[in-house]
Amino acid sequence: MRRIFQVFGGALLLTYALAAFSGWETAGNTKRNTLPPGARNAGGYRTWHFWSGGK
Amino acid sequence: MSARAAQCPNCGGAVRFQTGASLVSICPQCKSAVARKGANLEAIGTVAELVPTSSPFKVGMDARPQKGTRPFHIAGRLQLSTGEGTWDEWYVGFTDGTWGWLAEAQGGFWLMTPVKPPNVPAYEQLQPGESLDLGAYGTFAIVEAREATYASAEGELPFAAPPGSVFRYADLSGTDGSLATLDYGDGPGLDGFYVGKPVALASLGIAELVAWSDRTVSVKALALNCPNCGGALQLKDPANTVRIACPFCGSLLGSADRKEQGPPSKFAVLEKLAAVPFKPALKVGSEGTLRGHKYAILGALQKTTSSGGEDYFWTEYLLKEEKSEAYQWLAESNGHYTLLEPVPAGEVTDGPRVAVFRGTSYRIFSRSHARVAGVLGEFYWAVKTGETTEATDYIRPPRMLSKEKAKKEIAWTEGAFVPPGEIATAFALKEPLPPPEGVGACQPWPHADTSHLWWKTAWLLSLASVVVFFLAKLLTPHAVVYDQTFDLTDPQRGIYTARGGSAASTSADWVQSSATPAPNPAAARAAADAALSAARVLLSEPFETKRGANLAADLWAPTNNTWVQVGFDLISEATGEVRSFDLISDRYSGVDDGEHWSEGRQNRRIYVPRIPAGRWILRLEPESEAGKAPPSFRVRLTSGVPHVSHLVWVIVFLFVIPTLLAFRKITFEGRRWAGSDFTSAGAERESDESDDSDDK
Repeated sequence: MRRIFQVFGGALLLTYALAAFSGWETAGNTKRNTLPPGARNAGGYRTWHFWSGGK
Repeated sequence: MSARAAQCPNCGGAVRFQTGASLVSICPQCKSAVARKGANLEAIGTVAELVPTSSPFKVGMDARPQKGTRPFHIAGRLQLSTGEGTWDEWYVGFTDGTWGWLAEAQGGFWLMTPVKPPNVPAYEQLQPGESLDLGAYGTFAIVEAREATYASAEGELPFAAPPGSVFRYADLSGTDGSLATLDYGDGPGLDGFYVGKPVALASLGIAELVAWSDRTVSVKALALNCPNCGGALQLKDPANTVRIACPFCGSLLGSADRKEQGPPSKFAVLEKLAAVPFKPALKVGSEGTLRGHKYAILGALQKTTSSGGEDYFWTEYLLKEEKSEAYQWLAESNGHYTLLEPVPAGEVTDGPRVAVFRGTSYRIFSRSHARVAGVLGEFYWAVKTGETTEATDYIRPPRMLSKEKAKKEIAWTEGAFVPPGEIATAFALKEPLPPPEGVGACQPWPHADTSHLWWKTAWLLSLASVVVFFLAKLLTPHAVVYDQTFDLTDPQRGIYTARGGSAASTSADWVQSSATPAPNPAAARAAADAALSAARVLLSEPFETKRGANLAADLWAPTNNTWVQVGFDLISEATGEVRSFDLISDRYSGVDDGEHWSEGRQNRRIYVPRIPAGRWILRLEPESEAGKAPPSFRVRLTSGVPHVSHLVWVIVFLFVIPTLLAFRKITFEGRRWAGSDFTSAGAERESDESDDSDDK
């Protein structure tokens, strides 16, 4: 039983340490999208319908 | 020590007075008690035959104790009987001319010496269980106060009372394991007071007792037949047996005259029963090794008490430990077993809610008037059905401290819970014991060890996690990659401009290139709104994140009873990946009915996961209440920030299982205390009927 606790504790701490040092983050309240290649310029960032179409 | 030889006035045989303090010598020929009165000798009576006992001592033994105790000689043996049992007191003469008693009880030995009697209450006022403050001698608990008959003797004695005299005495137990005896003799006043400390047999330096630990029982087991049913009885403790309850017919056997302890082979039927009164789970007479000690089950008592109109039964097994010959008890209630051994009453302090034994406190669990309902086996006292005692149990699972108080004596026992499986193994039971019901009085919580490990692990890992968090905060390269304040430049349209002009400014004059003339007024309004939204958009100069990590986005605005919501779009220059989220700054406050209130926050943060290294552009779209836009807002992006909420979640996760176990323990304790006469805080539960209805 003690061995199980040691393995559990070590694994949890290692996971947390990796997350903390790597800056890992859960998905949170952010959305992902991809801007079409044609819109990748300053004007495109404004004009592409994606922005005015709501998020 | 000078020996004086003389002639017995009764038979003319030789009698010797070897110890100066001796007043009587028992004639070895005719058993006369020969008293010396000045220069004369007088026979003051005749002693009965000695009853064989299991004592290791003999008259004539010399002791050369290792240290702390003076050398002494065993000069005489006094055998006393209460009618319920017989025991020996050994009269010893020290080499310096003083004398004392070597007493034994429950496998222990005490060397008692006479001291100046203190002021004590009269014999009739002594109550077992009460404390006596004996001044310089200390505080003692009264263990028993009763009468004993001078039944027999051999060798010399330090008093000249005739055989058959009845002495009144009280045994006291000190707080340090010491023992004291108040000897009231046969008169109204105190005749003597003896105080002693426990001595180890091996330390006495008695040559004949070197191999004591390896010795066999001095009186061997005895086989006889029940005079009622003819059943074969195999006695394990015949030297001390006063009563036998035949396991075949239930008849109670004892000495025919009910007063003297005769040999069990001459026992007669005192009470006939139609059947065996009860069937104990463990066989009387069986032997087993429990927790490193070899025990014989001498007898079993079925006890009962009444509470709330219901009768409750339990069984108490009388055990004898083979080496020390000490009596112990194995109590069984609802299938739960507790092994108990006697402890000195003087070392226990009991109150209404707790009892303290050697510095350890035990909580009160039950108090009842216990009645003997059935008897089986052999006993060292004149047990009988119907006798009652006041029984009080205190617990500190897995341990129990138990008090049993009768009219003339009090007895404390202390012990521990024993799992039924251990009992079955110890006594090599062929059939499993009945499964226990409910939770035992001192049954330990079965997950105690596991729970302890979980709690310990949780605390240690939590501490380690906190250390990891701060190490990550200190050591990881987290950097502010973007920090910009925006000022409100067009309050009417809610348009902001980057302060200092370092970032791309708005395109307030921008017009959607694809705009076409509005076909109707509604479409025209929508087009105007879209144009205004586009005019509010802010674009940053490209900035760079050095490593793949999270990104902490902070928004701050001096909002006061207003709000500004900013839509964030992080755009990767390399891939076109867009990460979108919103933050709002909304601080409201006021005074209602004289009380100040506030809600919302001026600053907000969000963590954006997994932002790869590369160049990024930030697109911001602020929105606020018309005409109430805050004068500015600030946006800051920091890469690779250890998230404190992760630390919190790790800690919460670590304590989930220990917390669940704690709830299970609460439930377990609730079941335990549901069977108690008291609450876990020690308060007595109210009951419709008292448990002592038997005595009314």
